[in-house]
Amino acid sequence: MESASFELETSDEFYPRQLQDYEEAPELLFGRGDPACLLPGVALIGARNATPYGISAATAIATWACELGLTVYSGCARGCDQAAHRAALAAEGRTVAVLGCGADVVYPARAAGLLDRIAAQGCVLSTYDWGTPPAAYRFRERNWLIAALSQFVVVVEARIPSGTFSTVEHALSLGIGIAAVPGSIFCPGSQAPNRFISEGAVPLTSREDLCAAVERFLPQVTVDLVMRPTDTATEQGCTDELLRALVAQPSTPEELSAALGLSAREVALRCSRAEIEGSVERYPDGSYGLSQSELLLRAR
Amino acid sequence: MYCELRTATLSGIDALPVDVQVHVASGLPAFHIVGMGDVAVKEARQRVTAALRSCGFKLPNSCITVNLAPALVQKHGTGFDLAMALGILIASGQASVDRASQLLVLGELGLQGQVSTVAGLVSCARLANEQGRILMTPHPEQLEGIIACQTIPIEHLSEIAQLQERPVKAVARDEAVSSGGLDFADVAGQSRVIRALCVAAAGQLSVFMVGPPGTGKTMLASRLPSIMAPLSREEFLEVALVASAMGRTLDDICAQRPFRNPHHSASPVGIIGGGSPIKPGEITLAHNGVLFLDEMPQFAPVTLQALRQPLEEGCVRIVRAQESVVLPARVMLVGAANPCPCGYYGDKEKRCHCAPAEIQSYQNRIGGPLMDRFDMVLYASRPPLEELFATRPKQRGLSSAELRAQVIAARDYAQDHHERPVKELEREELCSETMISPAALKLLQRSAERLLLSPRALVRVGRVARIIADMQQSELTEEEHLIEALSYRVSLFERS
Repeated sequence: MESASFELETSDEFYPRQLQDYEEAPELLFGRGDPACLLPGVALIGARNATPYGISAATAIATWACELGLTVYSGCARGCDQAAHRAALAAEGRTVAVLGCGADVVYPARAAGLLDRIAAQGCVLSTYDWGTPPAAYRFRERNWLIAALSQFVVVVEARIPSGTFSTVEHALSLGIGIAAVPGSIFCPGSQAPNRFISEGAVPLTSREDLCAAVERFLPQVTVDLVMRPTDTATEQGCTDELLRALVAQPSTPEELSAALGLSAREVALRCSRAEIEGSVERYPDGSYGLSQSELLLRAR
Repeated sequence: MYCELRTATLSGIDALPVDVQVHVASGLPAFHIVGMGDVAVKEARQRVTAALRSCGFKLPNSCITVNLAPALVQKHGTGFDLAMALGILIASGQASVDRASQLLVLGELGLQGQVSTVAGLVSCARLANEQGRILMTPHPEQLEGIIACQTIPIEHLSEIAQLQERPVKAVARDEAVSSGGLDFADVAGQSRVIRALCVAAAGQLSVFMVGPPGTGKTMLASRLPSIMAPLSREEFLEVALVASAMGRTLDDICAQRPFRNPHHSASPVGIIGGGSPIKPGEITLAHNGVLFLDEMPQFAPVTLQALRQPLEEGCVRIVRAQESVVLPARVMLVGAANPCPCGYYGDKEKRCHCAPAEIQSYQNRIGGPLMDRFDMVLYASRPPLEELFATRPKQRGLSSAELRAQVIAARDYAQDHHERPVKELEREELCSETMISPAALKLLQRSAERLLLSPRALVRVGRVARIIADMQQSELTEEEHLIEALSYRVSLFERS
């Protein structure tokens, strides 16, 4: 799919207004797609090596953000980034992929299809000239742009240390708000967001939290705080001891058998049944965890 | 001054009839061997000459020509020695053998005249039976229990004057199955995997085991033969044919099914068979038993891909310019792999350092089409320490003998209730009213939609469920059987 290429100078109509405040703002932006997408929004950042929980959280937050009319900015890396882009595309919202290489260069290679869809429905943006190959140092600079384009940055999942910290540092130096998705204290992927929350980042645990964050960081956007009715299925699901054990972290039947007081085989059979019902998924290492749809169902 | 004796040469694991024609005529003294023999055949001249002289016979002082007919077929090995020596003795009038035209002579000569067994004895015995011939060979008693045959034992060339016929019976050998000392009772924990292996053994299904290093994948696989149903008469003969063609002594073939675990550096020829003369590969050596490929992603991709056709057809067709052979290859394939290159993906204690792309390419090395040949995937996780140190019997798992009883019961039930082995049942049969309960069928449909099962995967799940039902002597496949079967389904490559 060929989408229109564009170059934006600082004087351009579509040059993102939010960048104009910053001295470091690039003089020229290169992109594919629709430059009108470069509106105030939220940046979702997170680990490439994301857990199903991180993917689900990124999906949920990106979907909500689109429903609130925000643009979703991210870096199109594997894991959390791509989940956010995909969710925004599915929600028919605006999404912008900011690359650390030329906007016409496909990187990561596997994301070729996704990049085309983003260019068709939103836009792919870069500060680098056409054809610039990816390089590690460019991604740190790209992180500045992701932070600067957004009104606040949501950290979904990241280990300590990780590249996510560079985006957060840029955001802090630019005075941009930080929100984070709390996670299990045992899960390495939730170390960074939990740390940010303890240091003052806004915890995002529900749609209302996101609305509150939007009201705080994007006063120009009016948010309709419609409470969604709580799903009764969720309430029932919470009573199931198996799902309750799995919601904390994915586990193998052997690990669950001790917690549930059942034989490993019995647990495996229960997991298998829950899998057919769609509430549980088997992960590539043979452990079971809540399925994405079940996690989204549980998010309020 | 002419004599013709029947012997045989091996092609793959089959014996082909070969006639040793000996012509002794006046002329300059000479000893020619013609008929496309390899070096071992040519060297028979020295062995035969020495053996005849050692036993007090004379090598005729004339022109001896030995032809191995059909002369256009390549011949290998030392099995023609005895026939050549006998032929020379008869043609030169030094000895006479009763019913020489009804013999099948097989044996290698030593320089002292001693006769020894050669590879492919069982194949030759089968050929002798087909042609109504009497097998003349040393130590025919080793065929006892494998194949019935008329034989004439000959241990030494000097016995030529007092040969006596001796029938060998195919009475079953001692049925006591030696497990080679391996027992599932030795395995700590892993009860879930053992149960799944039991299901696989009952249906002779292919299994793929995934788990971090040190979870006992090899330990589990090597105990599989101890729970499989004993070899039937025909299967036993097939195993003996392969073993004797490879030159193994027949004494150590027991009723236990073969277990082969080639190292991952194996070449395609080593696994599939080939070479000149064509030799059986590991897959044929594992015929009617278990072929265990440990560290499967480490095998060369060509080796793994070469396995696809034999696994599908149950035999290997090896075609070369000189000859083409069909070798049996009905195996229960057991693959094992770590979940990722470092081995600790998903492990709770050790952190995995592999990038997702590395894990992907590691798993992709096996390849979708081969992965598709597996019926079940099992996940082994490291057992907790308390299981490792469990000494009280109630905490121990079932022994091989108990598991084997389950397997045999399931097999017997299946033989009584299904027309074909469960492994070969197709979708229509598996989903028929007489085989599956309506509730289970509905569940199968739902799971196919929910879990995105391909038609082939669906059939495999149906078969596994059927075997679990057979193990519980249940006429219909019920929901519980299906759910267990679904927990073993192959889904390694579902997500990227």
